[in-house]
Amino acid sequence: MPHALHEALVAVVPWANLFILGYYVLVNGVYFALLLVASVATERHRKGLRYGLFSTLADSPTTPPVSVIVPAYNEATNIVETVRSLLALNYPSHEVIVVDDGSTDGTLDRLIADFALVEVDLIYRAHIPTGPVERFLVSPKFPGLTVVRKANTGKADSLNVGINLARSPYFCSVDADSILERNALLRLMGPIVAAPDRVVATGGIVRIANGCVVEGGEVTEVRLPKDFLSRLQVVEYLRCFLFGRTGWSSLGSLLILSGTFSLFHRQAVVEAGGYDRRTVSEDMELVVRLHNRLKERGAPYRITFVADPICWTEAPATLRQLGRQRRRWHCGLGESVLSHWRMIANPRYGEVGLLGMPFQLVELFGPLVELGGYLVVAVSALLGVLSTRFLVLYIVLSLLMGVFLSLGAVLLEELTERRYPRWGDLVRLLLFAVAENFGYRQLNVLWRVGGLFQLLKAHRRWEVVEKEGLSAPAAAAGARR
Amino acid sequence: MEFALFLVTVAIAALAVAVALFVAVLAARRLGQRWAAGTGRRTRALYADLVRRVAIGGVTAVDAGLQLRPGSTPWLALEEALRAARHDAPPEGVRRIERFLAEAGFSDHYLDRLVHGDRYERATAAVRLAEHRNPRTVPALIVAVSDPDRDVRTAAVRALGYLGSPAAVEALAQVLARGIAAPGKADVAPRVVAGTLARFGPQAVDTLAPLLAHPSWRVRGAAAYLVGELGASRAVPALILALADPEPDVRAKAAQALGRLEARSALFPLLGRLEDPAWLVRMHAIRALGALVEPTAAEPVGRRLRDAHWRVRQEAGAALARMGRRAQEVLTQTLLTADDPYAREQVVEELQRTPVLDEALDHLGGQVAESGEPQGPAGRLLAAVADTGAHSRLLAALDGGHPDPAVRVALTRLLGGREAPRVRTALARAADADPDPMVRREAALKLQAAGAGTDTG
Repeated sequence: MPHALHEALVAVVPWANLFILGYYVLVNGVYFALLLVASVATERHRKGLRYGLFSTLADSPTTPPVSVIVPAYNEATNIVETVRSLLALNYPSHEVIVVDDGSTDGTLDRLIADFALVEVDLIYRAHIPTGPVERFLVSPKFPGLTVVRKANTGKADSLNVGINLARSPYFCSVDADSILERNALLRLMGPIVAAPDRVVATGGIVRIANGCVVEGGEVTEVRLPKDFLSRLQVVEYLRCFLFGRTGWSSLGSLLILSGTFSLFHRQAVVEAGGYDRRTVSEDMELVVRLHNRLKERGAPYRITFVADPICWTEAPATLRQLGRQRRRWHCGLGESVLSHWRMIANPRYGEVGLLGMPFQLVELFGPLVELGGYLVVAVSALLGVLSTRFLVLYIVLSLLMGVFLSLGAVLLEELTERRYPRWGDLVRLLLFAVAENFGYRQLNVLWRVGGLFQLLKAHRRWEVVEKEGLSAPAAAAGARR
Repeated sequence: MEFALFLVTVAIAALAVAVALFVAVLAARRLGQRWAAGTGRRTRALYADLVRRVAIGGVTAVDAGLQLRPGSTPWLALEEALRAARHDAPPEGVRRIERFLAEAGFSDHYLDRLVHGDRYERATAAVRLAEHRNPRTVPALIVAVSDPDRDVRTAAVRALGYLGSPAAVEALAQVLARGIAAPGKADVAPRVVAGTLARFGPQAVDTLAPLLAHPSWRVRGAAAYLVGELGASRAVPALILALADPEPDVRAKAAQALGRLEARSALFPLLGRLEDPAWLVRMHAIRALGALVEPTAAEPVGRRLRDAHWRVRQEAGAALARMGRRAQEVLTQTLLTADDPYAREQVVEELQRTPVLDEALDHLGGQVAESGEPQGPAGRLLAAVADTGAHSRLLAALDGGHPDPAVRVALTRLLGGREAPRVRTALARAADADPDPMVRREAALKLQAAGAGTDTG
């Protein structure tokens, strides 16, 4: 190596170290704060459940009707179970609208056969512009079910078709490979009933169904998945939802409601133009756009997360499928953040502009910084300026911080739903909270960097994640969010 | 560098302690819950006989001489067992259990918590008191409706709804008016109060009817809606007056309530609202008239199929479909005579939900000329349906769905000249696979005439 280059690198490495350390302190400081905020919110919520509002909503005439929209693309394996579970929800007034997005695997045929659907001609009013709709089917046996067949134009367009057909003031988006618990919709409606003038959207928790026993469209026994990869995702989901979303929701800066299970005020979404067909992560983009519009209008509003309405979904069980999912999520994060960049650090958008959006920007470029960290270690070792003692301590610190945050999430789970009552499951969750730091975390960094590269492409497309189905005994296969 | 190492070491030590603490808390919590569950199980087993005897009247609170500390785990387990026993007990047994809960001090404990507990205890106490069904607790719950904490107020409102005591209606009506008149304030959600008041049934109507004259239009609207939910027909005159309220929302809610009450005496006032300048009022008036199933309303409602607002047209179609034969005639007449394509589309959407199309299909045989010209009433009706582009039911009947070959021939003629690709596909299928040679021949001719060639048939 030329001497000048060596000198330059030796000069740069400490600054790089400082930058990475600063990033590390910032990110983990925010996580730590979120954990604290989420703990307080969870404890309050847990105590509130003793006298919870939801139990009275089931037989109240004032509970607002909801249209449940299920976009489905090649979901023949799950669709019947999902629709059955949705029709059987404990809710006073709801309809189910399945939008078949041009499936080629017989999804529609299964629906026609199982629900005795007949074709009708309905008037389609495109309050939100969508692609052409081909067929409408209803069931004389199940009056609350409508199925729409359309050309394959993507999930966002399918959701918009469902919104156009929805007859209720609120709609709930549910993925076709997911199963809602019987009271999930009632619980999700709680914040809206409590403050209907303010709450425009709520999201529930998404949990991993791999390994669980599913019978008759219902999760009858909760078990941890059998495979390593799905177990890692269980810990990850707990962390993401129980302290990430709860924390951001408490701070009024919730920017993501999972499209798998979220409830919206229909008119607010129609006025915002519906889901954006151009993005690969339409759920996040819509929430950011709603914040944007409502803040600009100066309207008092809230977008909240509730931890007790549960939606079970199938997680990808192979690295290939998981990688596709994570690349898409990260690319979607980038699209949402960059398309609304004016909100970042802008006091006009309140806590969303000053807290939520800047942190999402940090999250967006986080994988690059983390990858840079590994590179700096390698370069430092090469230059002979690596402090082994510091490196070891730094690794131990990172590891402990990861374990601490994951344990915090497991503790929050224990405080709220306690869905894994076996001691063995608890011990496994703790072990996987440690294990995820070795290899899985690094893989995630690589996938997310891949997502950043996708973001640079002019034509991005939805990477479909394949799956096997949720029927009993639960499969451990891939799913799409 | 040394200082940085020191900081990192300190952070590691702190995190290690925190991780150990988390694990300890998790384990302690699990063990604690296990102990509580065990204690609960043992208590329930211990008192199973007592609970059974309470339900059959074999023991009173004085006989039982309970020595449990209020709020303790065994005390809570016994209370839970008593509450659970109520679900399976006959009405007399339920009353005995409720009396026992009151006399054995359970209700007193919660009455005390309702006043002296923290916010969570107060709210939980309100819910428990509702479950005890002890009318003696109503005054305390009415006081709790003004608690400084919103959760407690909400729980008290709901508790009063469960207890159903008429003494609570006035207080609840005030909470409702307060919440609606000052929206955005952190009060009990009006929707929750309204849902609670709806549980009281007709007995609440005398308290709520005066709210129809409240200075706030929001309160007047909510009162109109609630009076409809309560199902008290003596409120009909007041609701008819509310149909003339200056606020559209109040007029709409009054119409909605009259429909819910199925108030025949409101027929003419509701018909008058069909020309209301606000579409929401017109829509609710139509819905109410649909609920009356009044044939004389069919024609005025039918005129609204040409309304400028699609929601009104939609509601008019749905109402007519519900109103029986006379109204279905109005629908078919509108389909045959209206110039407005939106009105015709709406009619077709509704007719698909009635037996009218199936009946017309059954009579279609021989009602379509070879040229495709409809000749009889069924032919004209189904041709008008096809003209709106709604082909699904006709295609389903052609595609082997209708047992009468003469009907399928008529359908082939009716659909033959139409350009839609799915019509072509159905005709090709009929030309190929229909069991009747006449249908196959007719379909092939139509395809030929349309320039599709003979290869399909």
